[in-house]
Amino acid sequence: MELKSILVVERDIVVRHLLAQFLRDCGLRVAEAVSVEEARAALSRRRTSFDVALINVPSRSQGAFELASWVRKNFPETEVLLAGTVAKVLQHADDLCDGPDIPRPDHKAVLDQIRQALAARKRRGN
Amino acid sequence: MVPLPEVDGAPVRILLVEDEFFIRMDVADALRQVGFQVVEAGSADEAATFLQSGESVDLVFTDINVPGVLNGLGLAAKIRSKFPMMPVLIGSGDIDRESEASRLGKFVTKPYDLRRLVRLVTDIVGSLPK
Repeated sequence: MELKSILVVERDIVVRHLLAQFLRDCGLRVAEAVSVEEARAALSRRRTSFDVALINVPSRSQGAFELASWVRKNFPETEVLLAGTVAKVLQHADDLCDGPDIPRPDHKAVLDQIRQALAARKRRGN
Repeated sequence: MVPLPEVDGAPVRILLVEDEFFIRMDVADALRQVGFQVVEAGSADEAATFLQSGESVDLVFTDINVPGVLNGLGLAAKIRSKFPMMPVLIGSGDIDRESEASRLGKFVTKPYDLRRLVRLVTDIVGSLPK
């Protein structure tokens, strides 16, 4: 069975590594982007497609929302999940996110959310 | 089946520093395929942050030209000073940097030959004290 691929976009190297390693251990193929700029540049080259883009939302940045919008517009086959600790910021993401907010760094919740997003996509026939 | 590289019963952890997304992804994938655990850093500054966090690392592989305050050579010099026994690989497409880099670690020429690179890392890790 083909591994599902996920792009993790997270600035904090410790959080990113722990999350990515956890997801790999769960059988996902994980690519890591160190910033929204890097994620956007990598996606633009269209060398690899991703089933899910998991984007962390820092408390003082709109970049994550812009990236999420851009991915949804240009890569409709990619499920977008937003993660962050600041609930107030995440309220603005309601129209961008395919599911409820994911409290960081609850890795199990992230995995559950990814599975739900992939299942929903399968039901939609994407 | 290739035995998983381990040190003290834990997977060997490599800190990979590369600012080119696809190069980093390809190198990390090649190393993971033979059982290494790879921590990806997009800059030497980020790698230094990881090392300072207290997380264990068995080998560092860094590109020279990376963005930030530190470049790969600056990171290697820091590692030499704080972790003198830690193996460091230093990569660059600029062969003129080889002598400078070789004072701090093992120089690797870009573009990387992934099979040779994996073999080199495996050999270095194999010589680490158990």
